[in-house]
Amino acid sequence: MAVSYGIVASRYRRKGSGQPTLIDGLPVTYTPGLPMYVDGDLGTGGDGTTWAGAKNTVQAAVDAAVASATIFIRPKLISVAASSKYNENVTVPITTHHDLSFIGAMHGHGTASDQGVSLRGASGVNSPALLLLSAHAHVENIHFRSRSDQTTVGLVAAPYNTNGGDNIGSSFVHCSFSQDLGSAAAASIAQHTLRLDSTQGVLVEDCLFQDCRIGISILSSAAAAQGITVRKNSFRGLAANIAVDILAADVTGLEITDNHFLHALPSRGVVGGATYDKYFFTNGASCTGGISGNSFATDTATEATNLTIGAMIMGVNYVAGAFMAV
Amino acid sequence: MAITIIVKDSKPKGKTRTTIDRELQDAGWGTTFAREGDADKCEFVERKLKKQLGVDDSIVQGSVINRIGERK
Repeated sequence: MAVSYGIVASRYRRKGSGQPTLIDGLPVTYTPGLPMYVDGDLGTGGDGTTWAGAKNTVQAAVDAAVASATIFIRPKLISVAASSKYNENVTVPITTHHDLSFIGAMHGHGTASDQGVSLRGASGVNSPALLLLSAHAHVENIHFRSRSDQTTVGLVAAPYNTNGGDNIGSSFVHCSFSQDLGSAAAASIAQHTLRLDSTQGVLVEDCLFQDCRIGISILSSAAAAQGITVRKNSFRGLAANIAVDILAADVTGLEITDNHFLHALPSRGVVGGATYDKYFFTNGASCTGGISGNSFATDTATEATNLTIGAMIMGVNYVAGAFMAV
Repeated sequence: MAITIIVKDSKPKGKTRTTIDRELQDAGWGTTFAREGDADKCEFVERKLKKQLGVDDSIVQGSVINRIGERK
C-alpha cells in the first residue's frame, strides 16, 4: 500500500480557473485503510469496525486490524481517575501490521491537564506503553504517561534492525509525553520516553515532552539511524527532572529545528552510568545533521554549555533574549 | 502542525478523515483534529484530491500532494 508524506501548507494560494492551486509548508500524512474504533469504557468489546461496536482495548483493535488500518481511540471517562487512562502495553506485531495509524479523539482536554486519550503501561510491567515493531506507523493526538516500572525500554518505542523491530518511516504528531513524578523510576535509571532505535525516516512534530528524563532517544549506529526529523516540539518541566531532551548516538541526517526548550539547563545528573545534563547530547562521533531555529530557555549563552553536538551543524538558535553564541 | 488525511478507499463505503470525524462527533466522541484549522485544511486537500486527481487510496503517493501545485 503506497502511503507517504506530502509536503505542504502553511498557506494555500488559490489562483483563477485553470490555474494551479499551490499548497506549501505543512506536512500532510496520508492514511488509507479500514477505520477501527476503540472505546475503553465498554464492558465488552465488539468487532471494532463501528463506533457502536468498538473494541475496548487498544491491543484488541491492533490484533483485529489488518495492515493500513486507522484506529480511532476514544477518551476514557474523565470522572474516574483510576480508569481514565488506557493501562495497557500495546505491541504492534512486526511485518503484518505495517501502516497502522493511531488517532485519539478528543473532548477538549481530558484527564487533568493531559490530552483526552491517555495511554500508559500496566502497573509492574517494564515494557513500552506502545511498541511499534512494524513500519510506517502514525500516532496522533494521544498522551503517554510513564510508570516507574518502565526503565530503559522507552514509554513509546519504535525499533528497526534491533529489539525485534522493523519500524521505519513512522510519525508522531501532536502527541504529549510526560513522566509521572508520583511514579518515578529509580533515581539513576536512564528512563527513555520516545525511543527510536536504528530507525529511519521518522518525524516527531508538534509534540510536548513534560518532565521527561530522556525525551527523545535515537540510538544505534550511523549506518542504521538515518533521516530523523524533530521539529516544532516543546520540552518543558523542571531541570532537575530532566537529564537530556534529545539524546542521539550516530545518526545520519538528524534535523532538530524550531523546537522550544522551556526549562533551565537539565541537571538530573547521572542516569544509566552517564551524565548528560544538556538539551541535546550526542555521544556518537559522527552524528550529522543540523540544529537550527530552536529556542533554549537558559541564560547560559554558549553552545558548549547547552549542547554536545558532535558533527552536527548549527544554524541560528536562541537563548533567553539573545542568539546563542557558537 | 500537521494533519492526517484518510483518503477514501476503494470500497463503496470508503471514508475520509473528515467524514469519519463528523461521525465521531455525532456519536459524542469529540473531534480527532487538534485544531479547527486542521480540519479545514484536511477537507480542502481531500476535495482537491478527489476533484483533480480522482484518487482512491490505491494510487495515492506522497508525491501526489506536490503534484497538485504543479498541475497545468
